[in-house]
Amino acid sequence: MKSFVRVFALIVASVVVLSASSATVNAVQITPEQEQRIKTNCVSIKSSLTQLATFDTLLRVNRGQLYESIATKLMDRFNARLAFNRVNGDPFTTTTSDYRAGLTTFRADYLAYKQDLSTALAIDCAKNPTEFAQAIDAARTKRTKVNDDVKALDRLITNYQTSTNELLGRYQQAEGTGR
Amino acid sequence: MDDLQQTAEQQGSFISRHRFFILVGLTIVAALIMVSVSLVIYNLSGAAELDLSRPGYKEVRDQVIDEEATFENYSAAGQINTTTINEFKDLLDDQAAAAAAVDAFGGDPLGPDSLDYGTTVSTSE
Repeated sequence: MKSFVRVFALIVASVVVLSASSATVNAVQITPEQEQRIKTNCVSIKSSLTQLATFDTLLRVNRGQLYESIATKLMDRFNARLAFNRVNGDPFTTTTSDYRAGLTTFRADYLAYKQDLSTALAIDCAKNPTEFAQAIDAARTKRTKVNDDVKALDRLITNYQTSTNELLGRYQQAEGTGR
Repeated sequence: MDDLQQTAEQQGSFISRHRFFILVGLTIVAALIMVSVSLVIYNLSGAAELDLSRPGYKEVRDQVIDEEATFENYSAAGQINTTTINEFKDLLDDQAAAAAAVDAFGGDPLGPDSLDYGTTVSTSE
């Protein structure tokens, strides 16, 4: 029983130390001048953040609908048609599967970003400028991740286009040779 | 024994006398519980973050693109030949161009420069 308690205490201590060290690595330090600027421009900074949050939500809704429609109204249907005609659609189904996984990541990362931005907006920047800057920095990192997700999805759409062009080339060649 | 029987009878008569108010009270409690659970799910699922019907989103509500109306479906049934592949290619190219037209979530609007609080923010290692 004693050894079990010791092991448990060791695990808890390790988790606490690791959490503390990662928090130190992510901590953002601002200069006294920046602190003063945050305090002075607190209202205008918050206003900019609120506007950004609003337009990012609109962007997320429009992007989400577009990406979802590309998957359900184009990719899935073309894959089904290929399967129905017994055409090898492996590159298409693989890309669609990756695209769906990318879409899930995009949704999750956007949610994480929005939660960080909401956390930043809830902080009184006139009273806690350092904490505010840290929250903004966290949201900034998450927003970059969302941008990476968007780029990854765009690359997968390009891959799908490339596979379509290759398939078209094969059919054009076959029709040209009279097969 | 008689006292116990009398108390049980009194309780029974209390419930039967106030059953309408008890029913209303229990209905309100049940409704409050269900509304609370719904709100928790609404927030945790992320639906709240995308709900443009909320008051703060009034100015951008009309900028939502209705994909149902503008997005052309490709039929899942039919032949595969150069004509049908070309039809699909045109549809996909249009949507790919729409997706690539804007660098979504790009730029650095959360940077210290953009938010006007300085140029150097150092990260401690």
